[in-house]
Amino acid sequence: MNLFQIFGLLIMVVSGVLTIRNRTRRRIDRVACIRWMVLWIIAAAGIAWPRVTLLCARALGIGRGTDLVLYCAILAGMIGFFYLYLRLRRIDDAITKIVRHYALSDAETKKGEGNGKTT
Amino acid sequence: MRNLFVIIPAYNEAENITRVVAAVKAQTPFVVVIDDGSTDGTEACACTAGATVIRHLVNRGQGAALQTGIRYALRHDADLLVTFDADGQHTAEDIPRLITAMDANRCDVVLGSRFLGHGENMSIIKWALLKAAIFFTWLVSGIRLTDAHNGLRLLSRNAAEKIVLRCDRMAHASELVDQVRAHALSFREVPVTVTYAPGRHKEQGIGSALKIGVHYLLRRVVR
Repeated sequence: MNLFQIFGLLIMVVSGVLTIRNRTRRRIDRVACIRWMVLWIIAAAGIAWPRVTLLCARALGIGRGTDLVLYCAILAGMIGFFYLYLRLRRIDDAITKIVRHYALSDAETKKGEGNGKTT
Repeated sequence: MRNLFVIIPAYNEAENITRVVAAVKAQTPFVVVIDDGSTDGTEACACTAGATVIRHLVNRGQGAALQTGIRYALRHDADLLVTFDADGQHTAEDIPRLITAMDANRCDVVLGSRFLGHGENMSIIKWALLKAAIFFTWLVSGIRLTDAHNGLRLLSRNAAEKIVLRCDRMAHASELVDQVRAHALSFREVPVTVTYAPGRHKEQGIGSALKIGVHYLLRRVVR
């Protein structure tokens, strides 16, 4: 086992421990915990046994294991980016709703007080 | 007598808002300025000029401000709603022409068009971007307009109740046209005058135009 594999596996173990800790503290739900754990295990397997990626790549007709890893990383990045975009948009929409609700309530209050801000 | 509400979304327009409100006040007493989180005293200026001011605590964009104004106007028994830009590019005297067109054609929406009317001091870049926006709107909405991004519009109460702007930023202009088609609202275009004074407007370049297009398409694709 080379130095990169030792460091890589160490990072995967730490990531797994952090995922489980987040689950026990109820910061993430069960599905998210399983999803992350599966990801860490696949990544750890790829680091520990590089031949696995080579075999998978050949089975898929890609050729090299590194290419398979690269394609998977690009796909995962794109899916992650899209997911983040949706999440950000939901947060953005929620902020607008809150700001609008507050603005309209405030306008009604001021109108009721008749402080000169209305026509 | 119908209640005509003029909705003016404003962001850092302290320099122009007093003049704009004064001009619009000559047309109707119901002038609503939505101060979209300005930091230059726009709220105070609009207040002094005699407008009803609704303040967004943080900047949410022109589309969000317009939707807030529409919501407010509907709650206050508006029959007709005019959207009007805060930078002074529109002519308040065009408002009666919009109303006349709505009454004559019995339509739900009247859109101002600077290409049917007059665009004073318009730069070539602005002209090209607006023409591109017209083509883009035609492509995605299927409605062929002569001016797709004019801030001067008249909505009937019926139209304002149906149209819900979800694009917070500048893409709301295309979204509005899209909703006109989706709700099968009848519309007309009317010639209006738009005046560009140097340094008075927040110029939108090609980068901003592309951003608006991408935002709009993403909103359409992923609802």
